[in-house]
Amino acid sequence: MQLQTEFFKPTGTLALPVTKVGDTAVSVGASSAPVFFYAEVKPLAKSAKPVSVDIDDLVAEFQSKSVANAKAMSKGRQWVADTFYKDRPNLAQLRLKKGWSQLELAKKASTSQSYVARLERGKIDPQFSTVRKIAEALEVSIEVLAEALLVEAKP
Amino acid sequence: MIPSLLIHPDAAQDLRALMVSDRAAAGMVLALLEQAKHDSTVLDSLLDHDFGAGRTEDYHVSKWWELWKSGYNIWRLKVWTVPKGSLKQRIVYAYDPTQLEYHVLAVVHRDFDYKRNHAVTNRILQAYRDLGIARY
Repeated sequence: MQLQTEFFKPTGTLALPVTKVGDTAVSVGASSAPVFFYAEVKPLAKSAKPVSVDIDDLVAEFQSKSVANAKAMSKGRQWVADTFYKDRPNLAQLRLKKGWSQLELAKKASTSQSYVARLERGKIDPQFSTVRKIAEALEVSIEVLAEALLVEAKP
Repeated sequence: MIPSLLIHPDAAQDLRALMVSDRAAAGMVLALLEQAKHDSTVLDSLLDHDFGAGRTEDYHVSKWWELWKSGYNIWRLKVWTVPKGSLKQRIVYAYDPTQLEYHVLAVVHRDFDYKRNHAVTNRILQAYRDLGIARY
């Protein structure tokens, strides 16, 4: 076993004068001088935090592989509606029963995914024209959609 | 600040494997996670230990007790399906309260025994540590 002190012993002698060792300039007039070679010690690299995958990207990956996968995704959303939203007749339930993502509903209603997300959270008071477009996309009456929106609407 | 739901690369691999082995189950789990991301009511319930016990709700939330006792903030979600047992997967996730982040760490088959020395358990613990989530 090599003792730690052995690392500090000269690694050899050099017959010629040395003018520079590492970044340290030295003047050595003697014909033979002890030489220390040293290595640059880098701190251990901190392991990078794993990069999370967005669920929307995984869903897109799954759906893009085949029509059967897209159908399975649609059925999965209908299952979520029946399982998790059967007692919450809100906009999310109406959308999921169609087998659609928020983005799909947004496209059909000519609005944005973030708007649909905020609407589902009851964070906005939508204009009548928007309600009408969403109702048409979902193929429900404006009354049914209004009731659904009221479920999540905060006072 | 709205809590966020993130999928660890290991769990993403579990889901990719499920896409190949069981398309219908993959559709269900993906749809559930997709919706949970957007629904704070569902997310909140994921930190309610024993939520849905005795089938009072449509799913059951439980701390992973053995790891919890060691300070790990790791949970398990099981969905009560009809017909019974039609979804054989369980979702294992961690919660980082400092960032308000839910991290899905694994999607496992119901036969997984949650034993401390299981390779999947070790993988989950490594993922937890890599994420830098504190133990309490």
